[in-house]
Amino acid sequence: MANVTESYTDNIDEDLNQLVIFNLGVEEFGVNIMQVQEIIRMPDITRIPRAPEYVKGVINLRGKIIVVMDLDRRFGMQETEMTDESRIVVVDIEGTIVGLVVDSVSEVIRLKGSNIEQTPEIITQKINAEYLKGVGKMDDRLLILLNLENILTETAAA
Amino acid sequence: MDMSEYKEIFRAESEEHLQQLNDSLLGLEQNPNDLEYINTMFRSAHTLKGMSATMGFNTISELTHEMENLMDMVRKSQVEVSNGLIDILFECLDTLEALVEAVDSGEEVDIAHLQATLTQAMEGNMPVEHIKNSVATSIDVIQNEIAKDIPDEGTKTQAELDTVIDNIELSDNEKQAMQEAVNDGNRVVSLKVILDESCVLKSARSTLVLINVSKMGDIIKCTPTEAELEDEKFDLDFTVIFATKSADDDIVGAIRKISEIKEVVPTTIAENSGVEEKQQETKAVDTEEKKSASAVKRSDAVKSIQSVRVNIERLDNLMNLVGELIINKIRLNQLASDLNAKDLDESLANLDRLTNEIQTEVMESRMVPIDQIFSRFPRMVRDLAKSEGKQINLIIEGKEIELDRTVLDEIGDPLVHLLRNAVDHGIESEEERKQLGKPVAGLVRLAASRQRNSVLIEVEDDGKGMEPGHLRDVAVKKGLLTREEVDKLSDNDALNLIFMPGFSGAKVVTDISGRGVGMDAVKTKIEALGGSVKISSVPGQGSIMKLQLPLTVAIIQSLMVTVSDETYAIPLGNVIRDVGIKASDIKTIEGKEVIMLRGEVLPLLRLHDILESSTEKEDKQNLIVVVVEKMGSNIGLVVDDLLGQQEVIIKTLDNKLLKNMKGFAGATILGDGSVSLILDIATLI
Repeated sequence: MANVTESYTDNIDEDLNQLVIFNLGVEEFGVNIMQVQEIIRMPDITRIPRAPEYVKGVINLRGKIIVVMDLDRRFGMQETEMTDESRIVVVDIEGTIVGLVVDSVSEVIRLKGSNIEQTPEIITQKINAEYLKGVGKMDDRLLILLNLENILTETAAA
Repeated sequence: MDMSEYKEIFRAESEEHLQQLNDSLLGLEQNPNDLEYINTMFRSAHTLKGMSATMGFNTISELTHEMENLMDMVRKSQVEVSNGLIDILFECLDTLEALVEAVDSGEEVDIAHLQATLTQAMEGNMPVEHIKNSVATSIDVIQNEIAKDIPDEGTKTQAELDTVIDNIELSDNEKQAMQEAVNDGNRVVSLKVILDESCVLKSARSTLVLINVSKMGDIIKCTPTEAELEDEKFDLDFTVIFATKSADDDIVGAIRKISEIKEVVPTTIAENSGVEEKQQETKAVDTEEKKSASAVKRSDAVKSIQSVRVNIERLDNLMNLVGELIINKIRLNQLASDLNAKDLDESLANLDRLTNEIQTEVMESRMVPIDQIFSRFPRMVRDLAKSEGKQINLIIEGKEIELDRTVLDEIGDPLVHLLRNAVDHGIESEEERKQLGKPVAGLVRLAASRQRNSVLIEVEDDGKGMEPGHLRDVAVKKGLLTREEVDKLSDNDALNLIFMPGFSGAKVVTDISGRGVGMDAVKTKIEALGGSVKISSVPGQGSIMKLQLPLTVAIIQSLMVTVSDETYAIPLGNVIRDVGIKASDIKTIEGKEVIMLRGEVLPLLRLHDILESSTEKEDKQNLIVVVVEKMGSNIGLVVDDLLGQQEVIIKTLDNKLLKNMKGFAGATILGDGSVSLILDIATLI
């Protein structure tokens, strides 16, 4: 938990966070735009046998091989079906490039640091708190902010 | 102005000079009387001082300055070459290394203590006892000796000629010819040509030399004779005496143009008296040349190749781009054949050739001599041997062998580990060796050699070797295997136990080896590069580790296969052959599928199962089997279809998410842009 509180205070220091908002199941998630490299349509994905279940496979992104991760599987949520809206959010997590499969990408928003709060229990019951930085409140929306560093390295299951 | 770029150059050059200093110091330790080493060191230290002062790294320039002072005293025989002195200088080098490292981080390194030691040393107070076989001769004497070694040029009388060319006997006719040539205003030059050790067609090279020489003048004598040269009845060097009007530089230049020539040393042995002054000059130049030539030979590290420094990242990018180019070429080829576009054939063939050439060039440009890592080892082994109280004779062979930069970067640590093992566990203590009647100094051999498509690196020691029985015991004691299991192992398999994770052969764990990074790490690393490790050992006589490494890593020939609707690449190096079999011929032994093939029992594995593939074509009577080799035994992999051979570019699956995953060497992009995984047979099955 210490980790969560720490990042929570970090965010308060910054006035504005620019976030890419995407949908996964019924929730709305946000990642810092600085970590997002690009957003692409679903290409052909090559399965990697024996890989952890949340690793969907690899794709060819202009000659680079990128590992694609199923976020819902990572969170232990129900896997959603791919639609025309499905996208891959390519993120750079401390030098490691990973693609995140999401249901759809909605918008980029600016969020005040003061609008970021600690993740409520109702969400941490569903998703491992280590993967989250907190929640952003905007009007009546609740945006779950991801801690991508932990999502990449944490081995703990949700 | 961006300083970081200069810093990078500074670091690279400093490291070269430090290497030079290290090498020379090691040489000096072996031959305390040879002051040429101190001279070489002095020059390197001086350059380093200048460079660092320019860059404003004052600590480095201060330290090198003090080192210079001390070395100058050594040159003037005011300070003896002793163990203590050598140790101080080594310490200086280590500190310098740390200082150069710290250039980027801006860390402070304290040199006050070292400066104090240096000052003391200059006052004659060595911290360690002196040894008495120190330098008696001053540099002047050495220089005189060098001068004596060189034939006294410019002599004209026959009596003098006789003394000059001690190794070459001249007949009266030849002396006559020389005299005439000199009278005609020619110079008689004795040209010593040394061929490169790797030279294959020695006779052809020597003939080329002779042809070139005869263009510049008249050949008087050749030793060995021309006939002997043609029959390759000579080692690596030969001498040709000829009359010429060309200058030394032109002669050397002309001969140097021929490839595989290592050294060309011209010596004027007779000259017309009219050019007395010039002759003196030539003599001086010659002396200089001869001196530097011998210095080069000794240190073997001062190489002046015409080259450009290129950041390795650039080369990597270039390599990647070439990869892309090849993928696109394959794609174009596919399109052309799909469209049946004959008009494209010629252009595509050209493109093929060009991309191949570019690929070769890029690969070549990434090749570096293995010396770049080998050169670190003499110092390391020395320090190690010293701290263990052992005497080690390190023999290094094949340091000119070239390897891809990436491969080279990766094998440094494994080699360090193997050498440490050899010194630490392999070589016995001095007393033990004496009792066993072995030479007191242990022998460690590090040798690289070029195989057909790979490089073989051997690390050999003449130490105590490994007892298969002892290794079995250790494996049981550590709970890695049961007694029954180890008893089943052949002696050779028992040796391979050391590659098991958690196995360390050391009875006493020292701070040097046995630090957890065991032989399994070495093996994993080498295999990750597409290489292999083999071990052989005779108890009481020593061990040999053989590392087989690919020359380059990036591109491999693969057999493309399909399993269900997925395509996989199997590196051709693993593939023995492919065969078609009937499902009805499959037998079961202990629940495992096997098939008799050419009188041998071949275990069968279905790739469907291994790769957890969803659908398998049912009721298939005719199966396709790819026979692969793993650790010396053959295994048959059942696949759905063969797509043929293809060159694939390995892209690594370097990702934290996949760090524990085994079975794949990487991925590659196919002609249609899709991604295929490359199977790593060693870890897959």
